[in-house]
Amino acid sequence: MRMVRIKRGAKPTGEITIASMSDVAFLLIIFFLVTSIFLLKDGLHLALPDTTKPATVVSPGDVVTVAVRKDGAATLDGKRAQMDELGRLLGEKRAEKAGLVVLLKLSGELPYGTAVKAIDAVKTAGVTKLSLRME
Amino acid sequence: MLIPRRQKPKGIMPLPSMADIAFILLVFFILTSTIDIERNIPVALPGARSTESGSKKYFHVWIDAGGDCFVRGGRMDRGGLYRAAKYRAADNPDVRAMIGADANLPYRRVNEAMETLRDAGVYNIVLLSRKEAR
Repeated sequence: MRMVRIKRGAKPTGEITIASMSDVAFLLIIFFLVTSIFLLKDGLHLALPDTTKPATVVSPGDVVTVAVRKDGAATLDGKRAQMDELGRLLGEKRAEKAGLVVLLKLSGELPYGTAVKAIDAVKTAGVTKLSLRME
Repeated sequence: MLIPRRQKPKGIMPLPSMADIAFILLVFFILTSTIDIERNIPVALPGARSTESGSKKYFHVWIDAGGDCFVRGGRMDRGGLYRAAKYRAADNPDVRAMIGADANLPYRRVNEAMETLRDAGVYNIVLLSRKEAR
């Protein structure tokens, strides 16, 4: 009687095909390089007041009022001021008073870009205490 | 005296080292990449000179020129923004809300968003802007 020989499976070799693995890795790197973007995190940092805590009391003498109308016209303590000069003018005020507080009154209809310019002027002047009010 | 000839350099690439470098780079990209699902919201950011960079925990709030508000790519009304911000603030009280609003939008709309975020317990706000030369 003839016996059927069952072939033994070839022993798996314990090798990792490095060349193909590096190919896959490089393909994945190219994928991530092409699809990745830098997340936008640049901006004006503001700390809003905590409404659950008592309000901070400031001396009226330390407050400077900046108002910006909806057409972009700005006033500094009631006097007309150019938006480009606001930073410099507030810087001069801050040099006189160290604890200067800026009350920034912005019209609700003011374009947001102009509102950011006004906040930027306050920050550029080095003023750290800012009160925002919408009118 | 015999001068020994220089051996010809072998044209072999060290594949194991190359694979190592590739995998290190791959791990770097996997760890640092985030999926951007908010790319299609059209917002023209305003420019500001005192623009700073931040790296703390944050979430984006986008407001387009039409006044529509988006968080994680989904359109939200004021209630939705409040709930999303409340959830984020409960998870991390120091979370930053990055408001990316269109430069032509009325300021009233951004003010509303800031009030909603404050009411939800998010006090750290970043008004996203393009960096302008000083």
